[in-house]
Amino acid sequence: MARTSIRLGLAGLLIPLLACLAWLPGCSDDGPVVIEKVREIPAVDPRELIERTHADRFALALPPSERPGAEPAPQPPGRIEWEWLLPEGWKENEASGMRAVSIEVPAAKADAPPADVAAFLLPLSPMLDNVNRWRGQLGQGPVAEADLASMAYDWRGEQAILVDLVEDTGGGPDAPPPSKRFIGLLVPFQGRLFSVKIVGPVDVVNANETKFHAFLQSLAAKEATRGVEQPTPPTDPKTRGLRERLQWDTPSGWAAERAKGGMRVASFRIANAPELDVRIVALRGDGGGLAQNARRWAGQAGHGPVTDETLAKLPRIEVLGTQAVLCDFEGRTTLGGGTEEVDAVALGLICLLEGESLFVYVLGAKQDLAPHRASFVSLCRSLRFEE
Amino acid sequence: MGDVEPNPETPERPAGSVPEPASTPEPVSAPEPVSPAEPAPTSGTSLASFAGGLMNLLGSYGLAVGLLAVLLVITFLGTLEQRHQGIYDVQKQYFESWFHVSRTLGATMDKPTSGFPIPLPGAMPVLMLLAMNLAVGGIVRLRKGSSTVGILVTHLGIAALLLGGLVEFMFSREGTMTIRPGQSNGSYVSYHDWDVVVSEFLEPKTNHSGETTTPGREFVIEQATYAGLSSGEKRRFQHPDLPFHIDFSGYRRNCRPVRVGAASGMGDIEGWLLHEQKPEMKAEQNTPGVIATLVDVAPEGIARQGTKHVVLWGLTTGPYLFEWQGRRFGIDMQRQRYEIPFRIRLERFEKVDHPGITMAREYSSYVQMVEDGAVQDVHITMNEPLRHRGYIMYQSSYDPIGRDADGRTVYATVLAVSENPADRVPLWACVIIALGLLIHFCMKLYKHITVESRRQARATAD
Repeated sequence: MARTSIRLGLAGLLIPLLACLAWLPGCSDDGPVVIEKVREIPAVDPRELIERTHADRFALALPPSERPGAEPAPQPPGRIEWEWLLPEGWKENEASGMRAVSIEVPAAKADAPPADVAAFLLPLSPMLDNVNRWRGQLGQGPVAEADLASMAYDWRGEQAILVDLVEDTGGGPDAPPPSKRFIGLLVPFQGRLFSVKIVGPVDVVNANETKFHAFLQSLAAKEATRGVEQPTPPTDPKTRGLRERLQWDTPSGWAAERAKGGMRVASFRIANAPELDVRIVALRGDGGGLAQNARRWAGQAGHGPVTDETLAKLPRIEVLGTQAVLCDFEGRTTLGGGTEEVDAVALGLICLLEGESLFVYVLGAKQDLAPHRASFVSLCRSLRFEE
Repeated sequence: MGDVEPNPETPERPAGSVPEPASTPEPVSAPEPVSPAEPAPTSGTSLASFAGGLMNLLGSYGLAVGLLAVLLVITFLGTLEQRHQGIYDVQKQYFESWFHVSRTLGATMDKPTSGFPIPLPGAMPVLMLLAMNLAVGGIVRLRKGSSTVGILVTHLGIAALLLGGLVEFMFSREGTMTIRPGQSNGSYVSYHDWDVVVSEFLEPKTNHSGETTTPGREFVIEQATYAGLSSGEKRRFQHPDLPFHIDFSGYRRNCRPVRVGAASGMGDIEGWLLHEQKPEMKAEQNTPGVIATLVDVAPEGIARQGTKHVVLWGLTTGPYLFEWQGRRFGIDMQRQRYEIPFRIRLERFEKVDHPGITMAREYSSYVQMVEDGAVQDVHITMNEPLRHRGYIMYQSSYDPIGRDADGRTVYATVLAVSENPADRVPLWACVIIALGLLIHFCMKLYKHITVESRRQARATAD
């Protein structure tokens, strides 16, 4: 009998305990919360209680050159030191010669050749020349300056170019599969050209693509060696004139940011689709013209081939006193470095002016971009030169 | 493990069950088995029968083995998950939870949630059940006698280990303390938790030294009360002494303020938005943010001030200052701060580099621990932490803060602080377990030697 009582007592304790434990995580109260913790603070020097602007308060989120009261740093030393977060599995080598960074990316198999990551700070030279030099190394033909717009890349808030190439082995039925892949970043940095690249066997680069992007975003010049931000080189007088005079009406729910230099005139962010990058780009000449740009955009959206007949039927709208071509291509493709195909849309405007050209472009998932088609067209229609 | 306490209600061992020989080696880490053939109570109610069944289940070997197997799976999948997430997040999901669906098996690096879904209990309920299993099978129902002393001691040691883990889980804190040379500190800040602090600054006063200071008080909104807010959710905070309510919305665990221009139409606050970032692998590197809306609660007869929106972010350079009904306030997001019952003063920080380079070979802090007027000199190195009143302070890092008159770099020391009331429990639990095993094995050895010597004596006599 005593044994039975003990069992009952223990079970009587355990069952409510288990019930309470199961109930605890579900506890919640959506009503107002009364602040319970109130404490004295150490006396504050009244001189510390100064009003701060948002830019002051968020200074650490801004690039050093944009921080309030940023003082000119000393002249840049001959060699800038870099710091980065080394992705797991990567092996750092000593940076020698022209290399600012040198890293080995091992293959999954121990005896397979690794990929190589390197960074260089070079004298400033045209980006197009560097892109075409890289393309030549992978057996690919040159591209036009207009093509650079599709390679735009945000590197730590700076406008950069990212080149992604797979070795061209001829393309015929008997051609061997490509064995080499190359991803390279180009960005003007303190009056020089900063380039970072990963090159190696296709499977190794594929497996490390995400890590490479994370590595790129972590790569920064050490504060102590960071030099003066060099003024942006003057752009071509023609495009500079266009850039400065161009006006538009930003659609509701969009945020515009006028670019400081480079090919881009402005960027737009959309409130409920932050991954979309709507851009206005100005170029000298025809920037590749209608057919080349339209076909490239169609390809980027996974659309089928664009015939001359299709090109002729593309809708025209009046922009800046000329008949600009409006492109709207749908297809299925992978976006943003992903591996899964999604329904994609490319919206673009090609506006060929006298001696210069203007492009408005955005590529994105259909579900994100489709609701903003009308806004995109209204942005294009609103383009005008300042009186 | 056959030393089951005799059951008064089952005086006779059921047919078919064989009494275990006294000399059989007894495993000690698993709880006591319950005879499957144990008959139902001859008296008592069905509730008693249910209770008996429950106790049998709770004290069974099968439950112990099952729970240990589940723990093995949780640990395995939790380890795999660390390819995609930092250890802090993995611990929260796999070990400090009640239930979790793991998707790490078969997931790729690009798509960490694309793996096969495996529903799992969290390690917390599994360990609770294991503790009950140990208590019922290995302590309560264990036959108490001279032959089981070692086993009992060992089981008590394991129970202490589990209890220590529970105390650590519930009451421990971790953070960091930075001290400049010649200065002292009596608090440390959390690695992971952030508070929103509303400060009210009272009228400035001049002390006897002629220094003018501004006293005040802080209303602290702890992270636990708002961190669970989803992106579209709001929560209101209030205090009788505050002339406004504070509504929190748009909480983001890791974010960065982005300037989008005033009146952008994107829901900005004076041209600023909080842009969500992917959580960092090292959770302490996450910087949270939240939108605070101050709502007037002016009593009748006093003009209302309306509402004010403020963007709060962890790494601001100072609080957002404002006046409300003639009173001065500031609001800011800060790492959670914990006071300690003594102060640490940094006398000297030493850093020794590898020859020819500036990479530190070793570094340590010479500090004074000041408590109730008593001063004690302590040398904290990387392998020799300061332990005092449940606090452990390890040499963690250092910060260069300037140069002295001779041009040498001056460093502030950075100590990792761990507050754990059960800090020494694992050590003592292991000592108890070792003692229990020693007693048990010695008794078995003694019994074996005695039996052998008797057998040999009989053989010699024959």
